[in-house]
Amino acid sequence: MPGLFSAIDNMSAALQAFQQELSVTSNNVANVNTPGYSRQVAQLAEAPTSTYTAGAVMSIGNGVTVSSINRIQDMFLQQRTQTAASDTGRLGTMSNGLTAVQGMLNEPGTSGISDALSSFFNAWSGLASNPSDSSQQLQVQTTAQTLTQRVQTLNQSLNAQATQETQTIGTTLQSIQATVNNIASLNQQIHLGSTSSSQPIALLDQRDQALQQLSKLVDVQSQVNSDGTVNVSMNGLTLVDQTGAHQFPTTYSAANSTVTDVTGTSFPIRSGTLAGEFGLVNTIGAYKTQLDTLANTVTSQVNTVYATATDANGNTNQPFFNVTVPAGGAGSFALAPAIAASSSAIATGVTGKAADSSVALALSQLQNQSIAGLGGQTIQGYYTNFVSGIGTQVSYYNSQVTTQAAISTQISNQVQSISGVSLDDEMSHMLEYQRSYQAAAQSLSAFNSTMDSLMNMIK
Amino acid sequence: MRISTAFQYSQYTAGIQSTQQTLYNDQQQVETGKKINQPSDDPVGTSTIMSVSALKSAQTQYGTNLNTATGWLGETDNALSSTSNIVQSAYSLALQGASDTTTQQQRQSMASQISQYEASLLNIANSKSPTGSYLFAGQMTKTQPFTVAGSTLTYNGDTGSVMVEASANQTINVNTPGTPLLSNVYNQLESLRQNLLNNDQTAITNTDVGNMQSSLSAITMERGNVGAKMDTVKNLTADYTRRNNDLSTQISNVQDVNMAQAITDYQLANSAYQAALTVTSQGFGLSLANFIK
Repeated sequence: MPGLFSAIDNMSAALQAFQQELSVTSNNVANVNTPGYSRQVAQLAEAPTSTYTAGAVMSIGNGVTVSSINRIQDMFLQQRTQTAASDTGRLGTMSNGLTAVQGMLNEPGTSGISDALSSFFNAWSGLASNPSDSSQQLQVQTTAQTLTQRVQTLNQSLNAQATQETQTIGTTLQSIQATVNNIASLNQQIHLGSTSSSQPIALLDQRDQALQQLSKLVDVQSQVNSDGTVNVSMNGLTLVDQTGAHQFPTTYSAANSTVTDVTGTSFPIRSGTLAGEFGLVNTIGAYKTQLDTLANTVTSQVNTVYATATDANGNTNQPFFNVTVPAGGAGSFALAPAIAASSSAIATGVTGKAADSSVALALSQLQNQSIAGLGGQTIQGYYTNFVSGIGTQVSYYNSQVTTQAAISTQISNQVQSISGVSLDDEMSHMLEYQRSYQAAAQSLSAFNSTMDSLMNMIK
Repeated sequence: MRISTAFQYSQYTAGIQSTQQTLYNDQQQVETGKKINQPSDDPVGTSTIMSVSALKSAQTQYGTNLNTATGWLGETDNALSSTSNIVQSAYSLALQGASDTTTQQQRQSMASQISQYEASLLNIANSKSPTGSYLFAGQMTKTQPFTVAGSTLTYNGDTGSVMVEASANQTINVNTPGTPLLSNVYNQLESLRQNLLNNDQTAITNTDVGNMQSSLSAITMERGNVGAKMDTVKNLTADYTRRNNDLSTQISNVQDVNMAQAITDYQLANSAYQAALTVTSQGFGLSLANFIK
């Protein structure tokens, strides 16, 4: 039969348990703003009962114990958060990079290549109608210079952006490795800190944060082991396992969106900022190719017509735009030296007669010709499609980012709903534990006075 | 659904941010007056704006070219009109020269008058446009078209056309080459002068009077030709002015915002933003902690 002291033991255990609950609550309140923090609860359990025989076998409770302190989490949501982080990383990177490219175009407006193309052909039209007017020759020279400058500037900006993306890829690869190493070392500490009944909760939160960070960079898959550690892999490439961190390859192909390890095996990169950066390098490369095509086509088309002209000195078969072999694209798009040196060198007709404007007229009419090398489009049409193509891409990625943001918010709301700390919740818990603690303390005091009465009998 | 404190606060922030974003977009539309500030705002609209702008700028250039055409044709018409006056006067002299009552002395003085007409005609035939091109030299606009040695007129120009690009597939020939028209007129004046000098009444009667008439009708015909082209140019110019207005409207329809709509949207966004701020500021005050004393 249990004695009076067992009641005191019960109350003492209760006081301890309620204190622990209060301390868990205070920890929750303290971490209300900590990113990645999952609220914790102290799981109370009834202490093992004692049995005694008093006529019959009786069983009596021994109070309460804290069986474990758990963090409240939904593993499925954690996975979804990771996937969402990868997609957000990729789409955000694409959207930001392409928006920067779009800004370089200065379209629609009067400071872009489209306007320069119009002005250039219009200047030929003006010269064709005033062939012996030197101010019209100057106009052709000036507009041609503006055209070449704008194309070159866009080309340089695209190059700079591509270089920047390549540098960013290097930084991202370093970040991936650093995060992988971090996860592995957290794994190790979690392994050491784990017991059969408890796991180091703070380390788990940190590890989840690191995993989240890694997911943002590249699409990884993770699997939780029984001791709380995780194995991380990326589309078949093991990054973290029981043996620790593995090397993330630094050899990559942006065109294929893959990384290749030392054995020569390639692994696809499907999402994350790394995939976005690969995508940007490819897209910018494609834009550069289109710009090169434009520059080469304008050079060859104009030069072909211009070669038939005879200039004031009787020279024929002269270039208008600078010719490089092979065609140098947008980077070397420039006026031929003689044209750049003097606008009066610009010829207008086949015969070289002052008012023969046949060549100038043909060059003016070039703007309406569909050109096989540009897929049957006019020069202006090709460039317009180029610009609206970029606009479509930016608009596509912007709306994808918006959609993805909505998805992320929704997942994060769910995560918050389950794992987030609510101060009102914690306050009411605090009251509950406080009251329980007060009750236990009161009981203890009651037993104490009971004990007193007993002691007084002996006096 | 369980609402965590961080979630509650992030919802406040998200609410403020999204209403602020809408407010900013609407504000930008009202400020710039444009719906499309960059290609991604409306890729198809951007493409329309660029194509229509290119077309408009080409038409503006054609309009400028037409001004050049008007200049050439106008100056040519002036010159031909003066030429016509000269030939008219010469025709009167030829009629007088053919008359029986006219004396040899009178014919001599008429001859010297004709040589003045010839000088005037030569002057007209060698006239330049304001930009310094010879009007009647064909394509050799930098070469003086007519020179005279004794009584022989030499044409140094050619019969080439000076073209003006009037539209994407239309060019207008704006010049009148000095040969044959002005060369013939000059040579016929010269023939009249010689016959007057030689007091050859028969030749004047039989040839020169008729020559003057045919010169006059040739000039009139050419002036008609020039006038017809001027009409064409005038019509095209009017057409371009009208079409450029249409194109501007077309660009504006795609690019410009409907101000009434934009301002209404802006006010709406403003209200939504204020509502978000109010909700947030009231939410900040709510906490169980305030009620536990």
